[in-house]
Amino acid sequence: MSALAACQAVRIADRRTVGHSRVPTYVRGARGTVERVLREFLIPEDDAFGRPNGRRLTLYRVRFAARDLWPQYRGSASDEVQIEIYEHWLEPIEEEVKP
Amino acid sequence: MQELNERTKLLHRPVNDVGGLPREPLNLTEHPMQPWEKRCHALLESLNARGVLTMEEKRRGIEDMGQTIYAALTYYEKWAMCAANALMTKGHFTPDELAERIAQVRRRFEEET
Repeated sequence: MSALAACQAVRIADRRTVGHSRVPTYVRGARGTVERVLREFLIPEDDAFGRPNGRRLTLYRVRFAARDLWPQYRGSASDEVQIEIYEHWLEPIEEEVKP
Repeated sequence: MQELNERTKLLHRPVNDVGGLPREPLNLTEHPMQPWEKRCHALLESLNARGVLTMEEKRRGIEDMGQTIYAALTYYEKWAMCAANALMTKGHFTPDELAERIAQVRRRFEEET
């Protein structure tokens, strides 16, 4: 069972990692919105080091407004970036979000 | 994210984590895959399917090559070099066995051409 649902506002953990993760630096600490819930997979932090029996967590598609990520962004205000991020990187933000 | 200084970036920012950084425009020209590149792709997919070397292990291996090699090698050259390193790390073959096999292939290639 996933902890978060579509349309949930989230903050990406501002966490520094060594070794391997699949969370780009430019979204760490950023605010995004769950676009959809995918399913559980072996997380990259374990998979990358040859741990097939490692942690399996829910993967989400998260969307970000391009202007939230890059204040100098010159493209359309509606441009967005979607990234697949695992649950242990997502902190729910308590607020009403329009779908 | 908090600004990282140049030294901590080396620890915390993989060489492929370049989103939002200033760069030359991407070269988007299409180019056909070489036969060895197709074989390389098929081999790595097969190793992944059998759990010998996963795609995530391969990605980590490529990130760990360092900026100089990462920038210099082509996409499948990185796959091949990473696969060799990872399979030796896991004990599937040794550096001298790999060198001997490469020498065999080179001799065969030179005989055929």
